[in-house]
Amino acid sequence: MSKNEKEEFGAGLDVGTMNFVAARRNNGKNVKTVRLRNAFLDLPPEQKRMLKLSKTSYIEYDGRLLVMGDEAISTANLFNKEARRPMSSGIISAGEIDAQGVMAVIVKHLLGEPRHTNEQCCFSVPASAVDMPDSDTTYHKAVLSKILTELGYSPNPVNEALAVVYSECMSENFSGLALSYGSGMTNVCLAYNAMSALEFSIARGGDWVDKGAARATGTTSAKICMIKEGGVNLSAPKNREEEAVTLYVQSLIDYSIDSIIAHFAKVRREILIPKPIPIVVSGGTSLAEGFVEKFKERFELFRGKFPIDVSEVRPAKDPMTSVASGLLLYAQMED
Amino acid sequence: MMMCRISNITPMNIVIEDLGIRLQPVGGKGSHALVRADMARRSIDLGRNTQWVKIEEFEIVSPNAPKAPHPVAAVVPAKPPVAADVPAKPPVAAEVPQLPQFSQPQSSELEELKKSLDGMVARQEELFKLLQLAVQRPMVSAHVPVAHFDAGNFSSDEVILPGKLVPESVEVSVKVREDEHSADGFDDALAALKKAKNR
Repeated sequence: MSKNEKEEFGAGLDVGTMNFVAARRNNGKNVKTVRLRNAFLDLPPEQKRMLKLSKTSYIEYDGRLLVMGDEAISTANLFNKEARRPMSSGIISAGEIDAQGVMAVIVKHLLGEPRHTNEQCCFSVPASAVDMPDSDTTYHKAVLSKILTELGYSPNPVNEALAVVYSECMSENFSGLALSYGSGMTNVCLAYNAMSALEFSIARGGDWVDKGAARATGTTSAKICMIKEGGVNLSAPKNREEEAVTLYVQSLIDYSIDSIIAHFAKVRREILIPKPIPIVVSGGTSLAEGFVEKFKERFELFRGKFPIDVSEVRPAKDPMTSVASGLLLYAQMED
Repeated sequence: MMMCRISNITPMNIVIEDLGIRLQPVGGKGSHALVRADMARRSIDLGRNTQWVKIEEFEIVSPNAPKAPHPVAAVVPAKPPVAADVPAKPPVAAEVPQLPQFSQPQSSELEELKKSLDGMVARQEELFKLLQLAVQRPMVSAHVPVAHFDAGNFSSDEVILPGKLVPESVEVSVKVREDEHSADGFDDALAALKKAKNR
């Protein structure tokens, strides 16, 4: 097998509460990522013609018609309903009875056929949440492993924040503290020389910001989410809703830094980082304009108590695809 | 036993998650479901969807229930008529919390519901027989060993998942957001990661 052929193998799959992102090599030269919103809405089968005419994303099986992705949310708004989400707080939603089937179809569509038998596919998993006592990812990992095995891949779960270290910290020999601010939760990983030293998550993310800001301003989470994704500037909020979003984002950042300090204190005797390392901020929630600046501003208030020497705080090159790229890197190494 | 019939009145599928039921659009075969009335009253999701469904409550009486005995007229002397000077005060009703009012279905609907209920009981008996057989022989199901990775909170318990998860014969028409970028830096990172891992 030639080197060029081998460069094609391996896949990375970021399984997020808000988005699925798959990463693969394309013709050995480029890295291609594909993204789909992790939401769906079921409609009567007779609406299929309308969906085809309007070129709306859908899947059909077992006589059921499901609108997928961003269009699920806009279609749900039309009917004044909520789009359904297969995942909640970073793992498969226990209350969503169609979660497994829908996720299986999404994964199959994003990854396609394996390029060889048992092609390595690294998929993201969250660490257990330190602020949710019953947090357990065993079932979530098992379901995703089974889906990937059925599709002909060899599944390999990798911590979400560790994948960010792989994709963003090459110049520090894969040493860094990565925070992945997702929709359902925030994952944290401290790695040194590509080895994970500390992993945990907190059960707060973009959804927590949306709900809190919605409660504070008397509006809906969906509207706050639209405001956030529409381009709020956290350094210069323009109205009451944007101010609420800014305050809740600040609270999320403070909580995450505080959690690192508290959690590290429990394991400090076992971990020794000999030199300063960077903090990398990633995840869809960090896409808001001014997020990293806000993080830097809040971090300075905690720097004196922070257990690790930090060389710099920087954003991921592409917060939406950073996890998937890191997973692809690891998959190519393992394949 | 008090039962509840929940009927979808919209042209969309409705899921009542905490009762575990899916209602097909109005007019369809699966557009209604039967549940116990006490469960329906406790359901939060049903409360959120009341504007989309019709709820009817009725009582199912078992045909084998003992019938009430015929009242036997007591032999008592007739009371002399009481002077109606003061009208008797009406009894003070105890404070009873108002229960939600559901309309009573017609007799033909009741027959239909009884047939559905008999069908459900027959299916449950069938399932029970299958379970008994399953207990007597080893269960054949998909066994998925959970993959291990470097670090993190990870339980080594194995999870047995029945059946196939990836649906077959799926028609897919899904638009995804694609992005492509050069892999130059990627190849350097891959070489560096291999070197770091091999140390």
